[in-house]
Amino acid sequence: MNAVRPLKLMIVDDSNIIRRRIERSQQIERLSVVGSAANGREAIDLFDRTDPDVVTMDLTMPEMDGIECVEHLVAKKPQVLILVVSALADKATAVEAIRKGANGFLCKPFTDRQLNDALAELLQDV
Amino acid sequence: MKSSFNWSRAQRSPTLFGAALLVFALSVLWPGFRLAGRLDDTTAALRLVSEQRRQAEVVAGALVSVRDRLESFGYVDEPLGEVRNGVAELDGLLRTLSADTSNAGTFSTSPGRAIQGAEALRADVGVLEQSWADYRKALVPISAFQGVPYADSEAAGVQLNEAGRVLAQEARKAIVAARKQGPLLAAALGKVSTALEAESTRLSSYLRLLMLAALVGAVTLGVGLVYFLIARRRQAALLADAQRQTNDILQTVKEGLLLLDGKGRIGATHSGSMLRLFKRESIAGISFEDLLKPIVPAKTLQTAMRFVEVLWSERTKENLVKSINPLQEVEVSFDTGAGQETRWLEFDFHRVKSQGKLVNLLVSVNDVTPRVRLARELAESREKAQSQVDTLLGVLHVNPQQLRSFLSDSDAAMKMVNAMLREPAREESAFRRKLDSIFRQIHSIKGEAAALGLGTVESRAHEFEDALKEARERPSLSGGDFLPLVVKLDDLFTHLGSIGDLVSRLAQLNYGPGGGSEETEEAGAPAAAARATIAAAAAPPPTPIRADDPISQTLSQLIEHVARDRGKRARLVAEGLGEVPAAYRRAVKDIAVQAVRNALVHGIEAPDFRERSGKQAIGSIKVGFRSEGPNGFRLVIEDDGAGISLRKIREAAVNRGILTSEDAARLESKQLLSLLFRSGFSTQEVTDEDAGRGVGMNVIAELVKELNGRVGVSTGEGRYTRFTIVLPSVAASALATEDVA
Repeated sequence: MNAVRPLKLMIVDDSNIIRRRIERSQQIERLSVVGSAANGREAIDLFDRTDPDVVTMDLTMPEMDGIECVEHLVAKKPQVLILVVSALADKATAVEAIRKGANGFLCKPFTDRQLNDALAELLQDV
Repeated sequence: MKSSFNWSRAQRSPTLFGAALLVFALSVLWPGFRLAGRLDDTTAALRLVSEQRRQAEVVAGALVSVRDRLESFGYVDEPLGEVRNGVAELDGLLRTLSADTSNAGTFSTSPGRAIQGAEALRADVGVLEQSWADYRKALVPISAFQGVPYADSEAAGVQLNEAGRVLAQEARKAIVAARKQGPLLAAALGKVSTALEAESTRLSSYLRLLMLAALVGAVTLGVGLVYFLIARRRQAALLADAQRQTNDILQTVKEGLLLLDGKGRIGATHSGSMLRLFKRESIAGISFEDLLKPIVPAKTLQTAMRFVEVLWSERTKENLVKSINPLQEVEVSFDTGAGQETRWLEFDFHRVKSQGKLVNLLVSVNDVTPRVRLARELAESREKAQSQVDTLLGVLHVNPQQLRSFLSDSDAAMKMVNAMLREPAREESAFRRKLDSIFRQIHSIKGEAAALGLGTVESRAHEFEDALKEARERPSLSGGDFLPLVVKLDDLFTHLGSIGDLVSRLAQLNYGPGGGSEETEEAGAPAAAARATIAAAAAPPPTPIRADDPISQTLSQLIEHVARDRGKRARLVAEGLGEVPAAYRRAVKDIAVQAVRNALVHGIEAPDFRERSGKQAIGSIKVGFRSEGPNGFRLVIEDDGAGISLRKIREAAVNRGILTSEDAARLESKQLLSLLFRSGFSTQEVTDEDAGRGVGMNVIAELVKELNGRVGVSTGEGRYTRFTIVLPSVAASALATEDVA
């Protein structure tokens, strides 16, 4: 991947607040947001149209289960980097998401710093 | 030898030792064997030569004897035989010595080989052969003689016959030859014999040297062997020591340690604590799954096994894997026979790599029960302390009359909720009705607690609401769904009790140990009264309350709290709230609390925004109550805020799937506004303690409905929102309420 070109980021979250927080993150300078989706089905559509390199994914959304969505995205583009955002208590879901190919995990609720660290770790190998 | 031993050296030693032994055997034993063979040959040759050494003399003697006997007509067969024998013996000797030995077996004795192996001997034997050949020529006519040498006649008596005369002549010639050849032959034989002896001596000394070398070699090898055995024993001892140390560590370490292989099996080596931690006799040969199965719920087990699977896939970073470890602090329960024992275990996983390849997972297990219990106790006591401080501070700030009214109201409400929970219900609809009624009771407690600034009560009521909401959202309801509610109710109930308790302790403090405390110890109402008085005396409210009636006080405090939290400014304009009949006081308060809260959260704008819109920075919330004679009562709550956005209602209705976008566009403002009173409807995106559950409006509608009243709303976008509630006269309402209950 070209280091100069910013990576394309797709945000999948049904909460505006979280979307905005991700857009405000420091790591965002390395990324350019190509769009956000509020549910799994929208996410798949948007993914097909914009071909993002990085995805942040809320796991509890209507329409399509986040895990299922992760599986679809990884099948479409194996090198995509997916940061799963989910509730702390729900380790089973996190394990499942990682198993299906997600690359990072961020617990809700999170601080800006945690968000930043999670994104930085996700992007460190790029 | 160093104390640490070298494995590769230890492995190589036996091989080297074996090779040395073989080389030694070949280099000593084979030449030794060859040498012994040659010595044997030489000895045999020497023996043969020695036997024939005197043969020349014997033959010479026999020749003389033959001549003499012939002269005296004696019997010649005997000396003739000796001659013949001598010839045969010497022939045999030379045949043997010069025989072709190329076919002689390695293991057989061959005297000829001794001669042919040595150049000098071959020459000596050549001389011997020559000497014998010459001698033999003279002997042949004699040894070849057959028959009788005498003729016996009457006339002449015994006389030599023709053959006898020849024989005598030959004998005389042979004697002459023997005199010349005999010593030569004897000398040749002697020379061969001497040479053989010398050869034999030489071979013997060689052999001796070789044997000496063999002896030295054997001793060296023996020493080597002993050294090697000692080294082996020391290595074995070191190995045993290392094993014992490992074992000691594993037996002593408190941590449970085990290795998992790629098939999820537990390795044979694990720490002794494993058995204690898992209360098992043995864990050898079982799988990790078997280990966890009896002590964790199926869901946890499944997650754990998937997690282990993720650990094996090296694609995932170790840090990430650690952050999602579902067994970081896992609750396990053991069947002890006398019931279940609960403990907390902490599992930590490490990837074990060998030459860059993941070969095992090292799992360490710790019993963190004391830590978890301590943490919980700490959290509990911290929360308790915090809540006591909060409660105390809250209580100190509350107007005594209001606190009394709140405590008695909430006590009544709690009892009602308790009664509702106990009330038998079978049908789904009955359960739902029950939930809705409980919800309204709790919601009003929450509203009032918020108004009084009793944050600890408010948060508990909020939690209760969450539980209720969850139950409400279930597709089907049963009695079991109410069990968690009972727990929450108990929590809230206990908390309210502790506030009462705190208030009475404050009262005691205030009155001192004198007669006044007697009164507070009395049950029920007097205590509440005392509490209120005390609170009033101990800590007068910091802000002056303009209106005197409890409803106005509650509302102005609510406005103060919510406005502060939200960065807004507003004031209450109350009218006629002191006139509310007792039967309606509770309901009017609940409705007003809800409506005022809505007005402040959704209506009143931020001060700077208001100023920009040409309004006063401080918003105004009017709450008016008046009697309309036989037509009942009218309660009006009006704010000068942003009004209700019909667009937002449309969007929310469409997003929540209540309306299609076409329908939403078609609906008139009145119909749209009526949506606000639907259960679960909210335009707010995020739920917080003040708004967003979509219950506020619905509560108002339900309360009004219970009282058999009507509610209407009108709004001017950007200007105002006004709720008008019309309640029937008290008697009419009472009838209606009984119907509902």
